[in-house]
Amino acid sequence: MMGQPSTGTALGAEALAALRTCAFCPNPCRSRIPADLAGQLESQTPSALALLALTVVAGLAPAEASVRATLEDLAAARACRSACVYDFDIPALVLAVAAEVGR
Amino acid sequence: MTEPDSFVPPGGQLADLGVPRAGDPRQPEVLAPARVAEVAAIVGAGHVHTGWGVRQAYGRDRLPLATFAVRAGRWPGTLPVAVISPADHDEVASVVGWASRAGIALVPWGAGSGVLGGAIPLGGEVVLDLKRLNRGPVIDTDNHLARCGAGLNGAQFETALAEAGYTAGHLPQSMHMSTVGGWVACRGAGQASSRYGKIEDIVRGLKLVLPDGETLEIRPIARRATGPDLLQLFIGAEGTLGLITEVTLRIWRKPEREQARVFALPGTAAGLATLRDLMQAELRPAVTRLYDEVESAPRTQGLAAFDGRPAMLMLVFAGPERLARIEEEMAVEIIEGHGGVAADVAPYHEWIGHRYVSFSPKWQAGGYYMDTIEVTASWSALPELHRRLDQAVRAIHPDVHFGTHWSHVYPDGACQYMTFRLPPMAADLALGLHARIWDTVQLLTLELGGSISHHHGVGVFRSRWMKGELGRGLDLLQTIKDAVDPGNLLNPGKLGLRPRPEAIGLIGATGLKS
Repeated sequence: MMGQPSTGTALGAEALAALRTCAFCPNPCRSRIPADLAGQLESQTPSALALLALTVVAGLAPAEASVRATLEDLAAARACRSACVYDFDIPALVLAVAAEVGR
Repeated sequence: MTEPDSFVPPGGQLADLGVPRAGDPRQPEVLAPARVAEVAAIVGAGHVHTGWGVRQAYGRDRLPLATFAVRAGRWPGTLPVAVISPADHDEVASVVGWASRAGIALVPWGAGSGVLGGAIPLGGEVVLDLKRLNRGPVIDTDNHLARCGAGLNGAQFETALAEAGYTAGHLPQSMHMSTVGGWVACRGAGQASSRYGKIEDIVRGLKLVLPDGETLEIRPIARRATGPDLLQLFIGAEGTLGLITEVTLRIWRKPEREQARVFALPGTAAGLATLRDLMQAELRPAVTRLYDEVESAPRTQGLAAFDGRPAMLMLVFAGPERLARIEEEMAVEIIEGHGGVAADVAPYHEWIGHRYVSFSPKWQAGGYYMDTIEVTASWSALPELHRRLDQAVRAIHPDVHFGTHWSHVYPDGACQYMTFRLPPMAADLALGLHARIWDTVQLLTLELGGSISHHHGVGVFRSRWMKGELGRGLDLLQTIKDAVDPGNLLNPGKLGLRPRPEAIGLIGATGLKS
């Protein structure tokens, strides 16, 4: 079910597979998040963002502004980018989904 | 990969992931605006979150059952009604005091890496994300102690120590994805536990906020004889008795010498006897890892030493140069006495290079049902426990992967760590098999005198076996909980303790009302 687009996303199968793997990965990259970065919220981590993106793609996320705002809050995820054991660019994929919200 | 079929959990309908439905207890209302204003006055408006985009991140932790649920488009429990992110101990105390007066339950949150559902909200709770409490460590070189905020990332903590020439010796696989406070809350263990101990051996001091908002400070003292050890009351309490805001750990100088060795042994039984003799000979290798035949095979392919010796033992001798050399020399004598021979160290390099990597995502993303169970047993029970569990679990499904290793060892017993993996199949069938495997492992462990958990904790998923584990002790634990937290406000329904009336059942789990 997750990763099965129902709203016509422009993301391809490879991108969805990357989001799916990240959503089920427990964030070993998160130690790259600077200790002084604002927020330190779970929703800012790559895995949480990947799950939210998949939820949006599946058409399951509610239509509220906080969804897009969360998807665009990428500073922590960008800090994690170089530590991804799969070499995924999750922030780019999440941003692509954010651009589709409310389109 | 095959996708899991439609998810039909035992007990009826569950809310779809993400879609709020009026009246559905898994999609509770958000915290009332007046309450938001009250708590915003404490932590600042920017640190109180009621938007779905933020709250959804706290609807699961790394409980595999939660992963199965999310994978199938369902929440395992509920979303929190709000997420609050305090900056320091004083703000935590004020928020807990506010929650106490308002009768609002709180779930403390570190990095959400727990695998027993200890951080999953069960109905109406506010999540308190503690990761802004991440200052430190402050290193006391005179007394070999390090103090830090509970929300500090584990790898950041250990890196800071290493830069100063020290280690706490607590190196869990989850090091990069967990917090120091989380280590303490779940009574964790690291990969060097055979030398440095479990976290309960390493914690020397704690600062906490009690359920009424008052502060309790347990000062770091080498030893005391002033009644029962209050530290041990809160280590492993999973946030049910108080919220840890500051931790003081014992530290050690970085080892002068670290020497890895790999050995091939005639079988699992010989391996277990070797481990027992190593520990009872008063040796303390920093890493002690024995793999059964199932787990050894993929790690030793092509290595001649393992022909006819199918069990792999990996050791690291660490510490002061002379001491580490003597330990290695004595250990080799013991290993050879059990028919072991030295092998190529390539499996060690493979392990050390991936020691902090989680191997589950590829399986979970592919529709498999993967989980791990860690128990403790005495040396006299471990061979039978391993043999009977291997038979019993394989009898549950012919295609299950079931492998075992032992990496936390003591003079009187060891942790038996089992990984199982069911192939993709209909989710309702898989959840039934998953539950049977868990029940089989936990009940046989109890039958043989062991403990249902070594270091993953209880959370909500293990609640059903806590009476068998503690007996009358569970009643005592509930009495303590009721006395310390009469409103049942701190992480209710976890650790086998009474849930709040509004709590809902966790998917596939029993022990909570559904």
